[in-house]
Amino acid sequence: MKRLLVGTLCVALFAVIGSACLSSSGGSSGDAYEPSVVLLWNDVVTEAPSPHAVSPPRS
Amino acid sequence: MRTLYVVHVAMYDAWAAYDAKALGVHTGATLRRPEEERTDENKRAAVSYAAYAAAKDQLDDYEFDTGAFARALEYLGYTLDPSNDDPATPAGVGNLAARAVLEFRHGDLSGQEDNYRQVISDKYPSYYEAKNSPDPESGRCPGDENFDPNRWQPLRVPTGDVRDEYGFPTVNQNDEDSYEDQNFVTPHWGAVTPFALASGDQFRPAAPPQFGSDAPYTDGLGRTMTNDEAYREQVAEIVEIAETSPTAKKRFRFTGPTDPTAKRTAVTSSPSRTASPCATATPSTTTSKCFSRCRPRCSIPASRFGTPNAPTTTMRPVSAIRNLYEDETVICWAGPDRNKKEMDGSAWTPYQPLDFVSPAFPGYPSGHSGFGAAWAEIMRRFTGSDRFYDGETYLPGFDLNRDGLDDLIGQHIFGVGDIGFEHYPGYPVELIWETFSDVRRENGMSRRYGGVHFQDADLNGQAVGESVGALVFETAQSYWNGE
Repeated sequence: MKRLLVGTLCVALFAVIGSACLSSSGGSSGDAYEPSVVLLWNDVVTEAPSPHAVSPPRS
Repeated sequence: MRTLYVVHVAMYDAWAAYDAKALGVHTGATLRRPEEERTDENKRAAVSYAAYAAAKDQLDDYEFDTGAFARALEYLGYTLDPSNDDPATPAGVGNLAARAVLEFRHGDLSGQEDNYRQVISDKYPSYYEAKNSPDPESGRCPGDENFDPNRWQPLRVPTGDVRDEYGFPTVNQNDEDSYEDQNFVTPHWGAVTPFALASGDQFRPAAPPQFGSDAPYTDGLGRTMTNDEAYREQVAEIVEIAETSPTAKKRFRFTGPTDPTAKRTAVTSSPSRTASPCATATPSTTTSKCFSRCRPRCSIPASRFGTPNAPTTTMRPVSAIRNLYEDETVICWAGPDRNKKEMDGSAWTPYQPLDFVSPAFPGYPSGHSGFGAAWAEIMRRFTGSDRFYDGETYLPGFDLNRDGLDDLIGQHIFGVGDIGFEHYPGYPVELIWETFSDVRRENGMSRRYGGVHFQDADLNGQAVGESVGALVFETAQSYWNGE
């Protein structure tokens, strides 16, 4: 059970946080859901891999 | 996070050009367009051109390889027009807005031009040197005489080139291809110019408890004891969570086996989308504003929370436990699909992917806890309420657990199957957060469940996040109110 709890928290909390941000940004104004242009760009950028910071030089 | 921030600020500045009073973060009122041009179509176009330019700048290699941003622009009905700087056109407004943001952010000491390699500055005048070592032959590993239990230890992380008897990544000390040694990622981030804060250390908390110190220490729960007592207690908590997780069980609202289909079908018949927190404003206005609030706090990378001022280059549980519980028997996760078993404390491992173990930067305070708390504070202020889950508001089009059904806001149903680095064979679990504060607390606690942060890294990280969220909200508000 512990493994489930940890896994769920790590995955679900960020998922919920992210979805709440998107929801609260007002994606629809009627019955049909049409993602706003901001949401679309947010999704496109989110799908890109994060830039990887390189290691600091060793002295 | 930085990338998202840059793209969203560029979009906001483009949008602000078509508002009567809003000020751009980096353009002020210089791009303000006359009233007859303030149409939804112009806003949509300008925002898209700004997003494209900013995204391409931030992720140029990715765009070169995939063309994803150009395709998005085309999908929206626009053509590439990167040289247009005519503010009388939406493309020009978008390009100019992005240019202003990028010119500023290219000089913010992030080191973006050099793949975020450490930047030397007045605040960080020398390159970071880890006091502890990942090399077991160094004499500076857990259990060694020269190991410093108050400082961060870079870890030796398996690459996957060598596998154990179960097929999982493992380290062979005699095979350099089998591992990589961590280096502190972006140790200079405390010098990066923030969005709202006066400086990167504006809300930095006092040092965490120090091993071996008898000086008084007040922990995140307000209890006073010696530093050493607090240190040992917080290490013991992580060991106990790994063994038993009794508090974890109390923190969830388990519903056991669920039939989400039936429940959701009933609710979907009377959707209440207007209950969405930001539904009172028009979509375009709300979208730009909310993102300018929600995203700026994301300009803080996780490593920012552990910049190398002396007390903050702090230990992660994996190293502290291996040091403090060396030669003691502990019960710990034994690896993917292997449950828990007794082992020597020197082999303790957090519940994380084997080729990750713990993040490559110090652990105090927790960035994860800070981000969650910042989000919660901004959402609370934006909506005017702490209420999150209401049992009836759906996220149309969002299906984060991929069960084929729209998600309810404030709820996540966790299904059976692959959870990233092992298989979960149990029954679906329903998680519900009735308030933003609940999310904040659970989000922080997850770091202790996962064995990557101690209590005060979590609690003090939340405190930092709350302060950052409040200031970011006030600052963002001043921009779109034109103050």
